[in-house]
Amino acid sequence: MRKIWIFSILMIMLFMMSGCSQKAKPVAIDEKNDKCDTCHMEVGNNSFATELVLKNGKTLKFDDIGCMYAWVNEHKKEKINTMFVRDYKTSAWLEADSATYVYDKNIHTPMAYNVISFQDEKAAKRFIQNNGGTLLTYDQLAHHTWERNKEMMMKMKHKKMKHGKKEMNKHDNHMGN
Amino acid sequence: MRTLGWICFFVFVLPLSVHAKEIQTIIDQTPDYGIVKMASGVYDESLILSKPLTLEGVGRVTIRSCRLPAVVITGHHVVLRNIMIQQCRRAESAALVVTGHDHIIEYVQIVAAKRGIQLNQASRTSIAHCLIRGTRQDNGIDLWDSSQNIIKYNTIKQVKDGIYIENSNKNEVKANFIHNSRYGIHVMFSDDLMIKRNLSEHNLAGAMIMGTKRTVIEHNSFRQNNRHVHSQGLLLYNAMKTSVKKNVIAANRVGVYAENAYNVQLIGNYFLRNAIGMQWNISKKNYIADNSFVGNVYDAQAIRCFNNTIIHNYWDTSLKLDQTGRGFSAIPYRADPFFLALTTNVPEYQLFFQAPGMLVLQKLLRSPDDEVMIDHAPRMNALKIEQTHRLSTDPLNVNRMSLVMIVGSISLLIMGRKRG
Repeated sequence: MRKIWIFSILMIMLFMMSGCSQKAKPVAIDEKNDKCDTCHMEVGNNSFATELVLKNGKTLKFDDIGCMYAWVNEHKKEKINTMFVRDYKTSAWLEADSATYVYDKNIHTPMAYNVISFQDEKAAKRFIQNNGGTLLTYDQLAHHTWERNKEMMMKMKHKKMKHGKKEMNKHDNHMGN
Repeated sequence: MRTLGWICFFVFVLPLSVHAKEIQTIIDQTPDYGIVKMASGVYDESLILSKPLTLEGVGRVTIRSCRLPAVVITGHHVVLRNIMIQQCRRAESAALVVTGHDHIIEYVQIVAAKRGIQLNQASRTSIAHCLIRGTRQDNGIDLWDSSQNIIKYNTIKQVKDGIYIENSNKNEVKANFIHNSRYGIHVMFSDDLMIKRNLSEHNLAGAMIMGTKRTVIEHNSFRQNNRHVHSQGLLLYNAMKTSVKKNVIAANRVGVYAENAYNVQLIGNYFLRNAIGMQWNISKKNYIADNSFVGNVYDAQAIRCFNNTIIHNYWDTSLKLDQTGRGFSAIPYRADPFFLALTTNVPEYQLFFQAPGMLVLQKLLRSPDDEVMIDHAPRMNALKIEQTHRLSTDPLNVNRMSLVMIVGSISLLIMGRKRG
């Protein structure tokens, strides 16, 4: 009888410990209540949204990958469990270290950091083939400058204008705002 | 050349049953600076106005378009007046697309499924007296790379952002009424804007000013923007050299929220009945003076703010003592950062707002003076503010309500006594 008790307590402890070491999960975006923890804008339930789960279990939400990295750079003492980004095409959540990134000034994101994320490296390369841009790995992203160069954005817009109305509509669709 | 054009004055009044294709043909045949008048009716056509002329509706003129923009304006000196534009639900583009310069768009009504008016590389264009109603999917008036435009006397409702301005400098936004939308006025990465005498209410935020320089925000009313737990009357983020003067900021969740704001002049504003009057975060070298804080649950909070000047504001809840008789109190007002610092990390602590224990803790854990916004000479009396827009619950309304309630109570008392 005593052995059964000890075994049960050990099992419970094991279960609890396994629970503690469970990986963090992304939380659904609630457009009505969520705001970006950096820029304070509403977080849209789209492929630009990102999340960061701290070791203490708190989840922070951002409307742009750049806003998430701005928070990380400002809060270097905070212990981060997992960072989540979304696939540009499907909006599926994925861990930031498993994603492939594309940076280009021509890509419009809600806060103009111009970086998008892909689950599949091939899809990222396909995007670059069609639209231009630079491929970035998760490690390279840590050294990215995160500059928002609005003059460059203006130049790109001028380029876009030359492509006519179709491209204008594309801008509308790409805008996260 | 323009005068010559007006001499060659052409007027076409189109019959009600005219075939849609003929409108574009007539527009194309009209000489520069001519006038095309459209008679009452519904026109299922997408029009392109690419040369200087006036397209004017006589009576009730409706242009309907689904896939393409109903009207595209390019070139220069185009006038579009007294037209109604209707988009169907499956519309893919803006109802009215404008590029070029020196256009006038006035008395245009737009029922938009997507974007109302898109200004794309447009300059010196005036949009006035227009009514835009959307479906909250897209912006009412959207400016991209468009400068020196004037947007005035428009009513915009049920859209995403009422007026969205990005990468567009030196624009004037005056006397517009924006309500029931996400953000009333949303500015990003644009400099030298003038935002005056607008009324923005019942939105998620009255105005959001982000990544800007030298924005002038004067005589506006940002009120009842309290739909969201994070709603603000006015948000300043990365805003430099902004002038915020003589605005009425009333009944919002947070009146003014400023973060990374430098050299802001917040002068002579009236903060009335907000949950939190103003919140400042990581901001310096700002000048906050002659504002009146009346009936706010919490007047001001500030964290990580340095080198700000805060003086001669009126705080209705503060202790006041006028020793010199010059109308200023000798007791300083402290905008203690304690509660804001606490709730920034754990928002759930907002439940303890104004709790007695929290006030004791705030006094015990007193923040150092260099980290606190202190008004060393608060006003004894609030300054009078010129009201551009009538407040929804003015004292007259309160008096009227009180009178009704007194009469009602007395009547019930008399009726009750008679029955007894």
